[in-house]
Amino acid sequence: MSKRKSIVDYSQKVLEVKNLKKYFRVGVGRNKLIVPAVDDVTFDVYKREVFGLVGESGSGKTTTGRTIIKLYEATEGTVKLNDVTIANGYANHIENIKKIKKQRKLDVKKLDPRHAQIIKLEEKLDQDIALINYDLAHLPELQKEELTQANEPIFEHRKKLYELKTQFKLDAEAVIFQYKLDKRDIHLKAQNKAKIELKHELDILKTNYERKVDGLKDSAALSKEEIKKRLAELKSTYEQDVAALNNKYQSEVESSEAEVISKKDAKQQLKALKSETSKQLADIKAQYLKARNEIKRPDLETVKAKRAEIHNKYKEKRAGLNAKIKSLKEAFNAEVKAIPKHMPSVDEKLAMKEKAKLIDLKAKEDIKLEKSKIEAAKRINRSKDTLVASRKMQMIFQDPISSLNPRMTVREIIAEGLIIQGQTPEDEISKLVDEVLEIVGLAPEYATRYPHEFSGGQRQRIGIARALIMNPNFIIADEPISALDVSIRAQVLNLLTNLKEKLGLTMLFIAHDLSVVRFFCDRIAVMYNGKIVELASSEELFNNPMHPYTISLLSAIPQPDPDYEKGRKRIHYNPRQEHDYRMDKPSLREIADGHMVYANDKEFEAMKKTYAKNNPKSKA
Amino acid sequence: MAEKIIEVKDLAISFKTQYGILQAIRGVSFDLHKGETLAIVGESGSGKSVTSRAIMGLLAGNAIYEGGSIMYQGRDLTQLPEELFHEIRGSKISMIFQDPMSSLNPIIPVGKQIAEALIFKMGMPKEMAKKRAIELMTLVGIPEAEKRYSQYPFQFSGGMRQRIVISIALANDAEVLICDEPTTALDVTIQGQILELINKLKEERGLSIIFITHDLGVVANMADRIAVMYAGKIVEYGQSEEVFYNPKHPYTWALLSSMPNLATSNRLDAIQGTPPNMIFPPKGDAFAPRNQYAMAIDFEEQPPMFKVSDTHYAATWLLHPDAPKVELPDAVKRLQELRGSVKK
Repeated sequence: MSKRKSIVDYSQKVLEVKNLKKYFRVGVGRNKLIVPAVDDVTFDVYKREVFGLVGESGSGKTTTGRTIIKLYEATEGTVKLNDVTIANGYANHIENIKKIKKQRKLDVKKLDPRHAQIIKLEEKLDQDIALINYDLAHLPELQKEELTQANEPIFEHRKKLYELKTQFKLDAEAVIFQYKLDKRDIHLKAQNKAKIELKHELDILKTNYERKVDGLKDSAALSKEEIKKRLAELKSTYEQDVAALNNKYQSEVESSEAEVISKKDAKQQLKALKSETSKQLADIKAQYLKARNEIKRPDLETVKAKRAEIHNKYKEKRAGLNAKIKSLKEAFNAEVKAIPKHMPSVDEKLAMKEKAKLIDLKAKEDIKLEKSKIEAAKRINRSKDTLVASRKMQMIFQDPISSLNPRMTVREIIAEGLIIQGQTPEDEISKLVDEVLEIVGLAPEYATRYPHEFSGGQRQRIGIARALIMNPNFIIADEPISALDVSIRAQVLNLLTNLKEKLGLTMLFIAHDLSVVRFFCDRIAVMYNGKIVELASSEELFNNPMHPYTISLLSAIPQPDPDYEKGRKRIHYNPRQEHDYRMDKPSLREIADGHMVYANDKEFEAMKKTYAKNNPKSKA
Repeated sequence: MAEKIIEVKDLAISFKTQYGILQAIRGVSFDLHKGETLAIVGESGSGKSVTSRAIMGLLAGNAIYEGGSIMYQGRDLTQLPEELFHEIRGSKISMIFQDPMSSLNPIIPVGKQIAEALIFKMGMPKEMAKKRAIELMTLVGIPEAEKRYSQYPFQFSGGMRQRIVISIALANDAEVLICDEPTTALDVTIQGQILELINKLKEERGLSIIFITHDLGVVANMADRIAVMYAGKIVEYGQSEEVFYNPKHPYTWALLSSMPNLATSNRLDAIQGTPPNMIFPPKGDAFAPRNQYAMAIDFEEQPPMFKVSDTHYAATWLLHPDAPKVELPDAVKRLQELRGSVKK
């Protein structure tokens, strides 16, 4: 099916992302929350490949891109570009150090046989108390439940009252609303409709006439006399029109005059309506009051008694459990006392000290190792090699409007990278800017203009030029076409295809539009909630989507084909219904050559079956 | 044929700018029938949004009506004074805007914003308006509407916000709904949900919809009829099937070709260049400089509307009896083949 010639060199990795994690810390204190934006993502990008990263907003695809180019510091995992590590996360090492310190303290204490025994007892005590505490912690919940049950009659009463009241309010408002409508009707009846219409028409004529007069007055092209003449003409036509309108409506006005009810009648009708409405309102109120009186008050005394009973019951329960804990603690103390006191001899003391020293030494060494790992990671993140290697990586941003500084000319924007790098002489930079502008299809004359003078597509070209001037071999394109019109979108995509072929670029293409990704990317990873849920070559992904999320995404693409659209059914994806990951944990598994799916054992078996059914050849 | 609700005739609108008079719309005519969806498709700057804003009476202060009329219920909306427009805007003709982030007030709870429309327009009492607003929120598919009534826009996702905007537009039982790119700012899956909602509401309430977009894929699902606009003019106009399976104008061909489809392999057929500057509109066909099928006459004279069938019109000299036959682009041919295979 593929007409495209593959130019990808699968022997050479340009980018290696391994177990990349990026956690964001949100809020402080009790509201502190750790959000896993990117959660354990692993993939490689090969030379001259376009790797697509697809997902909805919030799936972590942009965060992945930004972590790779080091706009964010990675939490864990490594990123390698052209075989040079450029980003290292070290949060796991910090955790390790904490663990080692805790273990060391325990180990030293255990050296004394008496302490060792005590620690054993302590552990047992902790376990027992934890069990009781678990029960204790659940008591308030149970108590609350029973209390709400006891309070039910009171709530019921309140609810009934509230319902009655809202119903009363609604009824009263409906009556008042109706009254307003009727009142308006009566007012309308007391007016001559034809007259009102005539007034509207006259108004329109007048505004038109005034507009024309205003226009004439300001006109600079005409002489004063000419203006005067035309004004007079306008006025006479306007007056004629007014007279004609008056004539036209005269008969109607007269005939409808007969239908108009007199003011006196109207007043009477209004009075009747008012008294009728107030009677209705009074009725509603009387009904409401009656209904309210009919509702029985709950017997407060029994409820109170019940509540006291529940309180007592739980008080006793709590006291019993606390007593249990107390007795456990006493037993523990007694046991500790029962352990024979043993004064270690000098030799023993020396031996213990030796052992403690050993433990300390080992812990220190372990901590040193972890610390050195952190240091190494930090050093690598900041080192010159990394910096030099990172130059080979550039980014194209999503929004062509906000990603260009409005106060800089195009030349300044494009040249900024080279100037910061400081290795290219100035006259050469200017030449390079002209060259790169021509590559992206803009005239070199444009270099002196500012971003606001360009259309969206042209601005995106400037963004591409800014990335290209650094002569990268790897580009991260973060939704470069999402903000563009369909026709301009095609232009920019074609430009990227040309550049890819001409300059041998490798690309990480981030998008939410699968239809574009399909023909532009060699391989595609679908992301959901910070995880890659499916990874395959684009043909394979579109022919054999396995993960339910991919299937739902594919079903949402609209096509320019009405017949197809009429038959299209969007498939909903609900992770809570689709997956049961409580016991059987999922992982990324290979279902076919180069096709990875995120699934657990049970799902994977089912997927395998469907896959074999859909592709009988591949199985044979 | 169903009854016409809105008739736009030879509408021409310009804007006074500091560089000169910009001719945004140059003679646009179309009808909106009862209960149908009319899609207006075009690039940015083609005048599709200006057309819809003219119908809503929302044009900027520097707009000039050069001519033509918008007839609605026997009234010409271009001539209507602002005071009389209040009766129509919102209660008869309603609009959904492109960006759900900026079309809601961030410091007023969403429920109140819906109820506001009911209180001001219909004079409904507060309690009733609240009840009705909750009904509307349930109608557009917001779960736990009662709870969310008093929440603020920032507590809603993009798709949910667009639902709120739709429920405000529907609050006063409008009969015409103008959707100005309602899904451009949304994800693909959310876009599907919103389009399904609009279709459902259209059927339930018998709405007539003007749907504005630049994405032909979205249109295929929604539209009964399509008007393709370019440089302030309608260049092709017809039933949805006719425009997709038998397009006549090179610009429609180009739009169809610039979308990736199943057979796209390496390169898209992009439309070269950019739309013309409408302060100095070209003499002949505005699309001629970007048109690979352009003939000499295209640069000299503007083509009239040629009739293809009773419902299908296109403005291109290629339909003139003397014009040479041209080879259709691949994407268009492919669609026609698909159609043929479906029919068999």
